[in-house]
Amino acid sequence: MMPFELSSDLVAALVFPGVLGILGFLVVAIWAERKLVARIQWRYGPLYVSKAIGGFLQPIADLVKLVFSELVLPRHTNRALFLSTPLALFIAEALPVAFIAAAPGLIIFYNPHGLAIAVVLWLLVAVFLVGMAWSEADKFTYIGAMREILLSAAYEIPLLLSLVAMLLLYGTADPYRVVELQNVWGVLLNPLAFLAFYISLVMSTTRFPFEIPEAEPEVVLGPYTEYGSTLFILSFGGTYVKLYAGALLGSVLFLGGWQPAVDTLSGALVTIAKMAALAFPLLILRAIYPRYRIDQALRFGWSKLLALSIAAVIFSIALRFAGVI
Amino acid sequence: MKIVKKTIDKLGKWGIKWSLWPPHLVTACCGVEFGHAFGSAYDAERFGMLPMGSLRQSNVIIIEGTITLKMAKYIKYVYDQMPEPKYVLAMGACALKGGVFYGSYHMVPASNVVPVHGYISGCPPTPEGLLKAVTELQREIAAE
Amino acid sequence: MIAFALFLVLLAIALGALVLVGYLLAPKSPHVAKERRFEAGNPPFGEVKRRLLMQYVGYIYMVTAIEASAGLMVVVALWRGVVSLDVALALATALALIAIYVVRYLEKVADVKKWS
Repeated sequence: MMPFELSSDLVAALVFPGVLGILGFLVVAIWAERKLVARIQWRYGPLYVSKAIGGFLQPIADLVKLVFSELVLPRHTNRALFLSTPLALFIAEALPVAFIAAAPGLIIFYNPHGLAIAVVLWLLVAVFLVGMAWSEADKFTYIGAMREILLSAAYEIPLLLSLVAMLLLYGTADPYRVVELQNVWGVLLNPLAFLAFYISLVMSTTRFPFEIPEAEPEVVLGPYTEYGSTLFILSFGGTYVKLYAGALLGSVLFLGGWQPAVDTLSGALVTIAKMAALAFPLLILRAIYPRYRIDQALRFGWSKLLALSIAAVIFSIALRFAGVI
Repeated sequence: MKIVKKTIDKLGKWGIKWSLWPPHLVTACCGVEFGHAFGSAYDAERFGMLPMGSLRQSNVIIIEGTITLKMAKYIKYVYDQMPEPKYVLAMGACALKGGVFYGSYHMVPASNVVPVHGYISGCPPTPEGLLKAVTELQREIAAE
Repeated sequence: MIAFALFLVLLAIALGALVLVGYLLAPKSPHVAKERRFEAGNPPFGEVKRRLLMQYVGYIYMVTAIEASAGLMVVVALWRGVVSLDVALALATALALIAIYVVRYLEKVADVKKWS
């Protein structure tokens, strides 16, 4: 018997959807991305840093190198803002995680409308990103910020509509109730909404076909150009945190959350497996696709993707009237 | 206290050694071999190298070939702008001593512009030569 | 609630400590070139060839920011059920703050030369 027991929401905050999960995902996702892309391009990827475990220490070596590299604060910027905006961005990207349940009891902040709050907080991230780019005061970051805003104009409405379709179908935004209702997974109930959500997820995490804001041949690194050293980890690592939050939301809404499992531990493991399944294709995309132009992305977002998400909402309403759920 | 300092120092050296990120700075035709070194056949990423766009994050300059007086100015500037632990590899006969342009009025050896940590001979050097120099540089960083 | 606060504080501490450790451990050698803007490796010289148009950026930024914060308000209103006095007061304060910001901003935007 332990002298005191950690309550499950503290465990959630510390370990699984919380701090350790986020930082662990950063390491695993970066390693997996580099290895997968290398495999597709007939290379080995990072290897000799730790040959026995396939170069798994590579992201840690990169982290150590960035920590030991000089912190440069350019003179033309507002230094307080320059230092604090990456921190705010990282936390803003991690915030939606707090409102989504990863397993029975594993939720950081329970709220009966938790999923709706998570979605709105997810949309707020672009604001912090643009603020960061603005505080850097550089032409590349400026162009990157403009592209980020335009891209968010392309994906925001389809993303919201696809989530509205699912919440309409379940009739609730309660993070536990949504999972309990999925006797049949959401992706099978409304595949249109899943497709629209997944494409919007690719756009909002700026993965490859829509990697427009940080297009390397055009605008160096977009909004992350001026950051070196540890600030680079905070600003650029934030995109992976967004991917983590999106995968968690997607697995809860569409893949039945922790469905077959009933207790906390096995539920968490099931959720991790489903999140990995959702994030894996997004990591591979880097090697497969070329990049859209910004006007093509906007046209795509406002024509096909919008039509798809509206169809998803109509389909949900039809299902609801047919009494499927 | 001394042991702690030594361990931290060693850890930093290990990280820097396995994560050398060169910026995109191509001065001449050796850039082709440099690009080749990151392709499927030679794969410099095995050693933890990753070509970066911005020099704020990178820590090694690979000077690829001839440096004219005009280009030397920019190489010096890039070197100055890079954050502190930084290394330079000079690639090709032109960067060593001038190569086919030896004695030209508009040619500078790399060592006159920036402190160079390693040379790669050849015209142009093979990607194997570049990777050999990278492993040598890694050994040098660890031994510092 | 405690868990939420703990989550935020821990994340902030972890990230802040990372930056602080980096600042303490890394070598420092300030240089004029380092503190300049990153111009893809060029020292700045001469006049700009083409100016970027900036006068509409503020508006677009305000749209993204205010849209999302309005969404947050709607969610908060939903969460509390009926709109009570304190929620209404908080909404009014937030809207007033936004209005003040917008008015101040419009003054600045009116002079196009400052933004071009």
